[in-house]
Amino acid sequence: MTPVRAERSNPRGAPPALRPYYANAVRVSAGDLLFISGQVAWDDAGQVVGRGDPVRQAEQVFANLTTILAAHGATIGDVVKVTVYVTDLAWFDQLSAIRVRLFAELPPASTIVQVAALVDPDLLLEVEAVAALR
Amino acid sequence: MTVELRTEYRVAGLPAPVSHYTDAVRWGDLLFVSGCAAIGADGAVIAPGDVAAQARVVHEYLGSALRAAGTDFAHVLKVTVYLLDVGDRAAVNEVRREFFGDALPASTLVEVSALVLPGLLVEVEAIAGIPA
Repeated sequence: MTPVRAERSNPRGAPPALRPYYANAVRVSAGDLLFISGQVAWDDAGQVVGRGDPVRQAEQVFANLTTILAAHGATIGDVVKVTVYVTDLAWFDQLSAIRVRLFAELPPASTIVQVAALVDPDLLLEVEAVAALR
Repeated sequence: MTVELRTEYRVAGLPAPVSHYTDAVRWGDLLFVSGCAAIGADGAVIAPGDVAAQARVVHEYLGSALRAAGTDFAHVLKVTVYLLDVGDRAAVNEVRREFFGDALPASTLVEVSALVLPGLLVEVEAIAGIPA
């Protein structure tokens, strides 16, 4: 079911979204907001998953996000904004492949930046999200 | 009473914004607080090299912004912490604990290659709810 209170838009005159997994804007007209802390590739015991492997880490990060969303009755399609922090933007295309699978149907607004370091040197990316709950 | 949906706040005690923004903006019952850093009224960096002292100033500024909009640390929903050296996390966390007490915000923390003025070690931005 498409949540009607979160309307995606790519207005004319703004540059088109670079990839299909995000929208230039998402208008939220109803619903509670859920702010999710930056998630990293830790398993449920706090151990790093996928050392040196950005794709494996991204899968764990999005799995963690999905778990948190589910605890609030939400799914990945309820995310209205993500911020992705990577330690190397060279992984952009590999990460895109994962994000298109997750977000192509209901793309959130998105920002991605490269940062100098994350909280543990073994971590390669961190993703925070805001979701609009039904 | 009618409340404007969008309200800008310039907060007494905070340094003048360094470019085209204000200290905080309220939208409905949400408050978005600009990144706070240890910059004094004279525009100079406070306590260069002392991350704990800077973190204390940052949280005092954040507290001033929250109070100006009728809210407080217990109603902070999300913080983003930018450190020049991620190794300073523990020192910043001690200060954070003092100001937040039992309230735990959602949080993201990253190391960045530079902040707006040389000598700054930490910047914190926040989104808070405003209680009715």
